[in-house]
Amino acid sequence: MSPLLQEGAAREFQRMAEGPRRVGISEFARGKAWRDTLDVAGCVEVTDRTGTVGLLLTPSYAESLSAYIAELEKELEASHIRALFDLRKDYSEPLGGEALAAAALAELDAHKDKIREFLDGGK
Amino acid sequence: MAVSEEALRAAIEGIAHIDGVVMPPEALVEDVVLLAEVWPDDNDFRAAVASCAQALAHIAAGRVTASALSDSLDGWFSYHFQLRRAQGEKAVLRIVYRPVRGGVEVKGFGHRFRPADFYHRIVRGEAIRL
Repeated sequence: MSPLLQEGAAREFQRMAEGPRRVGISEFARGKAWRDTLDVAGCVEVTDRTGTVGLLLTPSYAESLSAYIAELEKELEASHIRALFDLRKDYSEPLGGEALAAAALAELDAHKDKIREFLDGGK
Repeated sequence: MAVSEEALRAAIEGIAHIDGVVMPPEALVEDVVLLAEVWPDDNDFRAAVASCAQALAHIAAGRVTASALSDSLDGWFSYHFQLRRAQGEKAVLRIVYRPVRGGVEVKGFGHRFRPADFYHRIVRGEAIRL
C-alpha cells in the first residue's frame, strides 16, 4: 500500500473513534453481511447490548496502520538525529576510558542539582 | 521513583570504560540522564544501560550491521537494538556513531523517540525545545 493510502487508512481509523461503523455481535451468527461492511470500511466496531466489545480490522488494514506508524517513527527519529548533531556540534573532543569516566563524572557533579531537578521534577 | 545518583554514576563508569568507544563527556552524561528520564525505575534503567553497553561493545568490535546516515551525515551510522533481547520485541534503542581508528566515536545513544522533549541541553544549561 502506498504511503498516501496508508495515511488515508490511518485517518479513517482516527475517525472511527468519532462515528464508527458498528456491527452487532449477533450479526456474526446470522450471516455474512458483516463481511461486506468490514471489507468496505477496513475496520468496524463490534457491539453488544452493553456497548463496544472490540474493534475488528482486516489484515491489510492492520498492516497499513502498522506501516504508517513505522513511517512516522522513522521521520521522528530522523528529526531527533538532526537535532542531536545540531545540539552537540560544539561539545568537547571525544574521550575514552578513564579520561572519559573522570570528565563525565565531573560534569555530573557540576550539574548535579540541575540533573536531579530534571529527573525528580518530572520536567 | 527516579533513578538514584549511585545508578547514574555506575552507568557512566561502565559505559566510559568500554574498549574502543570514545565520545564527548557531556554527551555521555546527557544520554545516561535521558535514559533515566525514559526509564525512571532503577531496574528498567539498569536494563537499558546494560543493553546500551552491550550494543556499544558490539559496534566497537565491528560485530553489527548498522544503517548508514545520508546527506550531510555521510560517514555516520545508526544502529537499532532492543531493551531486552526477546523475539518480537521492538528495537527502541539507538546508537549514532562513526568508525574511527581503534573503535567508534559515538554521537549519542538512547531511546529512538523519547523523551519527546529530549531537545534539552541539560549539561550546557540551555533549555532548547524545538
